[in-house]
Amino acid sequence: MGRSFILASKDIKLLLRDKTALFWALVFPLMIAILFGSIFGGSNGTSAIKIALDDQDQSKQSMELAKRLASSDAVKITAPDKGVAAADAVRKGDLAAYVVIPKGYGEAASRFQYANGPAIQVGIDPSRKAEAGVLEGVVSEAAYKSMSEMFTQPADMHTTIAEGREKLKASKDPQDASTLKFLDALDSYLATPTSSSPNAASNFSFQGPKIESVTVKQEGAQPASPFEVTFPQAILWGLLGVMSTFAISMVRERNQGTLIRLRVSPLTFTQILGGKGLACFMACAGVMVALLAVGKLLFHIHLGSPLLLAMAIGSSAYCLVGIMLLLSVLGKTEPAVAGSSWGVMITMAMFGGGMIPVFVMPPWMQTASNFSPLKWTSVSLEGAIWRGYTFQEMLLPCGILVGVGLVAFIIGVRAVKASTQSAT
Amino acid sequence: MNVIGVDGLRKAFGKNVAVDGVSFEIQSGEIFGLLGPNGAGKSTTIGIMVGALDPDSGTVRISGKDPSDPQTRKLVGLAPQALAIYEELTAEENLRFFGGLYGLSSSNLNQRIDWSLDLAGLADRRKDLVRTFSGGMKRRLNIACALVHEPTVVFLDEPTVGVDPQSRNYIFDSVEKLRAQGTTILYTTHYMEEAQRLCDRIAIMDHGHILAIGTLDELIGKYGGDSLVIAELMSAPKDTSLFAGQIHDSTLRIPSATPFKEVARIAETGLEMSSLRVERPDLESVFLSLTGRSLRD
Repeated sequence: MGRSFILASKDIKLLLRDKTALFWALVFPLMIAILFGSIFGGSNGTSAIKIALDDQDQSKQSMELAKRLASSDAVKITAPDKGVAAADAVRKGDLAAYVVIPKGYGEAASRFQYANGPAIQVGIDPSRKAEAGVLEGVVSEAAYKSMSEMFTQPADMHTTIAEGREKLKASKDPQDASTLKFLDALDSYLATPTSSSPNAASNFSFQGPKIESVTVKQEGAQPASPFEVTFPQAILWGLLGVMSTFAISMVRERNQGTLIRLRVSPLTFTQILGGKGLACFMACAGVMVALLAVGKLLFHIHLGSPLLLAMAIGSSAYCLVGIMLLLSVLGKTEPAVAGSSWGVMITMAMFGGGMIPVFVMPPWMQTASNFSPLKWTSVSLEGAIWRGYTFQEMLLPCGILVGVGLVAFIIGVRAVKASTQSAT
Repeated sequence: MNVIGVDGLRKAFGKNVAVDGVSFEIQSGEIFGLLGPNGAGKSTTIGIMVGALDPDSGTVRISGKDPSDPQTRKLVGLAPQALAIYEELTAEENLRFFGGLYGLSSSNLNQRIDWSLDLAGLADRRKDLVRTFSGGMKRRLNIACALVHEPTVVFLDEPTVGVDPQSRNYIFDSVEKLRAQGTTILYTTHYMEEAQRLCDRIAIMDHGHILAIGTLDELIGKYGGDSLVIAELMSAPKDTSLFAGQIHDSTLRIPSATPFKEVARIAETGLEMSSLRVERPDLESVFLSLTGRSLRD
């Protein structure tokens, strides 16, 4: 292990003396985090908002509302995974929001007593302020459209009003009496539209459907600022810089002869690659820690549980070490490895949420993003920082990262060993 | 006593056979030269001998052990043909790094670093980044890094490629100091002058094969052919029968195993000469004789 540290400390020293590499690993990501954090203020993209819809009422009116929401281009209704509550799905970031049409909604709607009825609940991820506004607008619009639809069919409306009046007649509530008067006047108005306004006749003050916004959060899980979203995203770019630097350094060692000198030393090949991997691991972890420290100190981002953060950082760094080894054998020269590794990494970043957040991607891209290790890096970091993942919830992204890293490391060691046999 | 034994080495890269049936032995304290043109298979042979490349067949033994054994590797130092040093580290940092891999204690490592820097003539540049060095200084450091852990067997692969005469002489001096200490050295080169100056025995290698092995005198005696007496005459002789087939215009060229007898014979004829020289056969002649082409081709 001591010799691996000697190897690793040499690589870290070389990295620290490479100003270009340091720029791409630290400065550039920091610029991204600050720039996008400032510009977008944490709001998210423009594609359909993925929501879960829970129609607890199952009435004619609630189903009409659900139908209108489903037909909206602004939202996409998606069922949460089996066994996962809608709120949990939102909290974990699988869905942007959920909408609950509560029991009693249809009853209140049928009597035009929205004010007295239960409110439609909109549970929204706290980082998506812009989407929250859009979603409440979409729900309000759907509810009002459902209501106005009733007026376009007087016969159906008459039946609905009659049912409502029957129910209200039994009530002794003064508000119900007022509503009854309104319905009487409305019925007359529908029969003879030239008569006076039903509102004026009844002294009834009409109120539309109520929408109650529910913040989906756990303790400490809410991002305090947009920078809590942009810093994990920017970290991905820093990690790409580190991986590229180390992949290129691998081929440089091979071509300039230092690798053969290392192989002549009393180290096994696995020890040599282990040392390189240890340096890459330390650099990846260092970049993550440094960027998060800057985010914490200057932008007051909330870092969540240290244990979970360590899990995210450790598993991400481990995974990227394995991938770095694979990238290093994509070419025989430094320019070839630099070009091809950036090609692969840009693709991984594109699908992994490094360019645009995963949740605003088209569905096919979101599915494809599962194959990008960077997506799981992002998920684990966000889970630890502000999504409030539990230890159990962290196991999935961290487990995937460790698994991918292990497989990549094993294949990478073989590939690098094979590449060193091709020439002296 | 044999320190290195190579037997029947063969290594191919695809259809290209780089080393084919190479066998030789190197005695303790000997400087053994592997002489051949670029692409002859010298570096591949070294790669196999130091355990960095797996041979397709054949065996290598260093002090009777497998070179892939970590204990054996501690005995071995390699200065590859490429400059296998880190340009963004200082000379001292490079030596400390490579020495550290061999597990030297801190005080021993410091001593060895000082010794290596002195040998390479870089003591006054120890704190400078390697990228600020000249090509020759980098070559010397490349060799110093192979010696820092005090190996008993050293492989120097084309150690003077691309260096200035001053650095070349420095390297020659260093090699001779190592010889004086009893270090066994395998020295590859395609410069026959280096092999002639430094090596106790020389193996001529071409196209992956060892063509001949011996001391300089043995090789020349066996494969070098006759010496050549060359005389520039003041004027072309009227009677050329004494030197039939050996005179062209006013230049006399006489191949002979006894060149000084020929010089005496020319003097006896009374021909006036403007210059006279005797060319002894050298490794170039040996290579030409063995391959039909020049070493520099």
